[in-house]
Amino acid sequence: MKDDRRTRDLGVLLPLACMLLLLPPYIVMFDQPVFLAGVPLLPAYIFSAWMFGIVCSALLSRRILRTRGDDKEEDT
Amino acid sequence: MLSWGVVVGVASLYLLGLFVIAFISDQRAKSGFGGLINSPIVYTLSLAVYCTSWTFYGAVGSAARNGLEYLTIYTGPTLVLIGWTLLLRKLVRISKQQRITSIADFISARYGKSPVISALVTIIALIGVTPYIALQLKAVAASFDVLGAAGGWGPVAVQNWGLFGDTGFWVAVCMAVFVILFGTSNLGADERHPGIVAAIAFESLVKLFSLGAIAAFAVYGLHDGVEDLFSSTQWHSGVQRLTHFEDGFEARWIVMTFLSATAIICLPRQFQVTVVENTNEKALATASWLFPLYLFLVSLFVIPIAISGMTRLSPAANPDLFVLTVPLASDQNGLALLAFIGGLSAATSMVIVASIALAIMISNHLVTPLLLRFPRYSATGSSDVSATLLVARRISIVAILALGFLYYRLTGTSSPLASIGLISFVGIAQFMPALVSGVFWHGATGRGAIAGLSAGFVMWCYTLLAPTFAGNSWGMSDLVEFGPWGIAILKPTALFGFEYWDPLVHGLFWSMSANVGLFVIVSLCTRRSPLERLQSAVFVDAFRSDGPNMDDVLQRSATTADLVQLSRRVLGHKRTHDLFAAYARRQGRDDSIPSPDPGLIAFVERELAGTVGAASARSLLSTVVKGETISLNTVITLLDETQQAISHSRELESKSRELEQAAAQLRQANEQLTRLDKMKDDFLSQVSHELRTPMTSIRSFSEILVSNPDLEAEQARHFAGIIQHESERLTRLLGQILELNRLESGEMDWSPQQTDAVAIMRDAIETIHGLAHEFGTTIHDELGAEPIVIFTDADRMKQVCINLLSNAIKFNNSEDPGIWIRRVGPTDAGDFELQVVDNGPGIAPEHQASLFSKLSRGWNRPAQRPEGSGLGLAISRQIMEHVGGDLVLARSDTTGSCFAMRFPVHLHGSGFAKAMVK
Repeated sequence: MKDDRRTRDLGVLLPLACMLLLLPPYIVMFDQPVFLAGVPLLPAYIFSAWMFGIVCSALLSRRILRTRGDDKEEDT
Repeated sequence: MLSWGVVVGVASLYLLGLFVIAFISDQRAKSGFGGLINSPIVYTLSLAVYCTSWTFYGAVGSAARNGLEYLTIYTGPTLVLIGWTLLLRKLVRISKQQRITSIADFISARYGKSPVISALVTIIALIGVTPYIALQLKAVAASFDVLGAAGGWGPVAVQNWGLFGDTGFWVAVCMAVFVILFGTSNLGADERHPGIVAAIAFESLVKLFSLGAIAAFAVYGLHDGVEDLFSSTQWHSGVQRLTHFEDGFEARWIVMTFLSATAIICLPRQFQVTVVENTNEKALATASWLFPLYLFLVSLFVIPIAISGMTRLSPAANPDLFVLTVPLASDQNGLALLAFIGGLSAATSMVIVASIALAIMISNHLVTPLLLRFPRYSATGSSDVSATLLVARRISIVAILALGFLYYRLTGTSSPLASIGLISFVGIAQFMPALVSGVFWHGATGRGAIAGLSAGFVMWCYTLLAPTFAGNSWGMSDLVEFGPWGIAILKPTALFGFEYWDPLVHGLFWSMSANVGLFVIVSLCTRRSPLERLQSAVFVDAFRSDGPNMDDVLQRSATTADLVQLSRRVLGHKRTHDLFAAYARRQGRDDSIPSPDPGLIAFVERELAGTVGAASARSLLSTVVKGETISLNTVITLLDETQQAISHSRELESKSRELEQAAAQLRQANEQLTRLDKMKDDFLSQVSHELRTPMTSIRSFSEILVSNPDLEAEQARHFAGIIQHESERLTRLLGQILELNRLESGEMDWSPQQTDAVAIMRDAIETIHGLAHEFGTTIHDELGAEPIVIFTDADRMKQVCINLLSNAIKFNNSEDPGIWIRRVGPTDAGDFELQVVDNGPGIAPEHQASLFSKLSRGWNRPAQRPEGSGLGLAISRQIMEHVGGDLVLARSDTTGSCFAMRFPVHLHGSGFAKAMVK
């Protein structure tokens, strides 16, 4: 029950967090003339933040599928 | 060098391949082997219909022109998919429950199945999406021209080939045939098209692979890895835009993220693949990360192609076609052909899904309501609707594609791909307020939705759509430049003086302000009809497990025959038969004809809605159904949001009642405790009084003995005798107090056995004989010979008898004292009594009530007579009560008293054992 609630909260928090990471003003902070292994910082940051969201979402959906697998009622 | 024949041949083979895939998938789905087609991966890939030729060609163009801004088109959907538990899951759940067929159907069903809303949404969608379809045709034609220019067989010739030489035309025809074949083969159980979904998924793989191949070529073929790719940042301003933001990018960045997030939900084709074609809610969980990953890869592939195009090609080259021209410039003909096929797949997938989604909307929400106005279709028992509907759907598909083609031919190829797409997005975004509020806000009303949609749509047409026609000299250029009738403040691109805003931000701002503002205000000012209340509860509370039961709310009646006939007209004979038979089985009937309860009517309505949409299903049903009234009370009590509040307050009420009861019990207990406390105090003061009397005499006599050593021996012995007597009395008193205490607390040991009450009494008489003789009392034994067999502790019983006898002896001041021992019974109930009767002074009436309480004394103590402790009767009664009997004062007056020991029937024999256990 507690787990279920936390999963639900994460389902709300994750998109909000990703939204903050991918919108101004946060992305503006990474607009610097710096190169990471030959890649400019700004695109490197945006794609990393994006990948972070994808990985978190994959973990979260696995968790949701698992908790819902136990719950027959939700399964309809 | 790519010849015309090779290009056309490969493209034709590719399209043929699509037909084959769709055909095989349809066959497999029909025969029940839908495993692969129903997999979450195919579902996710079908969502990638989002990436049209606008993405395939236009994203590179946008990246080259505007830098990183193109990313927002893909981060918006990513956010929506990552947050799938918030909105998408609810949309899918509701659509499954309500058999929703399109976004127009969804919004109209939410707002009381209003045909006006579904028609309005359909028209907006049609106008919003047509430019988008045109965009696809344009992209295919343009890409074909590029290959032709490189191969030396175009593009000059294309202009002269006319309609039949236009690639866009043939693509449109091909798509029309495809969609008609696989999208309208039947009016199925629902609006699902497994063949089309499989084809779309395949196309998504093709375009991803194709774009990836070109990107890999750009990084490793044209450049020496990633570092080399970005080295041009130093000197090329276009590439620099890909590494940093330009001033004032924020507004467009946020607006475009919002727009793309809206589009992934509201675009009719996205709603079709995401919600309507969804076979399993769990597939959304997979799509929540796999689809963002797809978008991530696409966005990643765009960058090297854009950089290569900007640095390797001439500045005059069209960035929208870099995907083709970059490989062509390096003579990579095979790669260029792959790019062409990728672009073709992106375009065709969009055209296929968009046209089927729009065709469903047009036939269900525009054609059907019109048809139902004719008695030929609306009357009971009239002709088949389903055939007409199929024809309408096919004509709609042709009309949509024709419209798109017309738009493409008329507007020419002036504006870049991306801007057309964005204008479409803003138009489609007008659905968002009605859609989102519909599933979260009970108070949203149909009239509010109509007002908001209309206002937003009008503002969109005025601020964004009209200016696109300005270049075509349709009298629009004056309007755009100077405003209507020369009123500058009403200029479409600078409404109310917002001069320097980006046109897209400007258009979205005004259309959304008008939309949301009117929607909210009108919703607050209007009341929901009963049907709207019902639907709002069904939509907003879709996840409530104790969800409202629709079937019981609508009290409607119809004959089964009418329902069957209606269903046959829309669903066909076979499906109707199957559905009704299944429902009859559910009702537990032996024949295949269900009884026409409200549940059946709701069931039929849902099935019809799955084919013709909620609004049309309702009006079709209204021709055969009578008494469609919702009892408002039922709605309110069953469904309304107050329902929960009511149950909560009921709970509270019962809780407070329980509390009141508990408080009353506590009060009672408190009173009893106070009473007991007072009794204890009384008892203590009485006990100390009783103790003090013998103590006083003991002390005074012992003082005399101590202070007069020369007291006569006789006198001294007499005094010592008194001291001994009083000490004995004290000991007896204390012993009795202890005994009473043990009795009351239940610590007394009992050894019950079968015994004779008469014998016990005789034994007691024997014991007391000496005392009786001393007082000159005669004891008359009138007990008789017959025994009274009881099951009890003999010693205790004897104690009671001795107490009664000694009282009768000691307090009898008669001239000729006498005691009579009698037996009474057995009575009718089987009880026995042993009576001890004396001819003493009797007990004053005021003392009778407290006779058996502790330390009371009913007798005025006669002088010179031995005194009792006042505990004897209390102990005796305790004993009698403990064994289940009773001790009472049966009679008392000046001629004497009568005490009775009662033995109820259960005391004889084994009954006592039970009483003891209790």
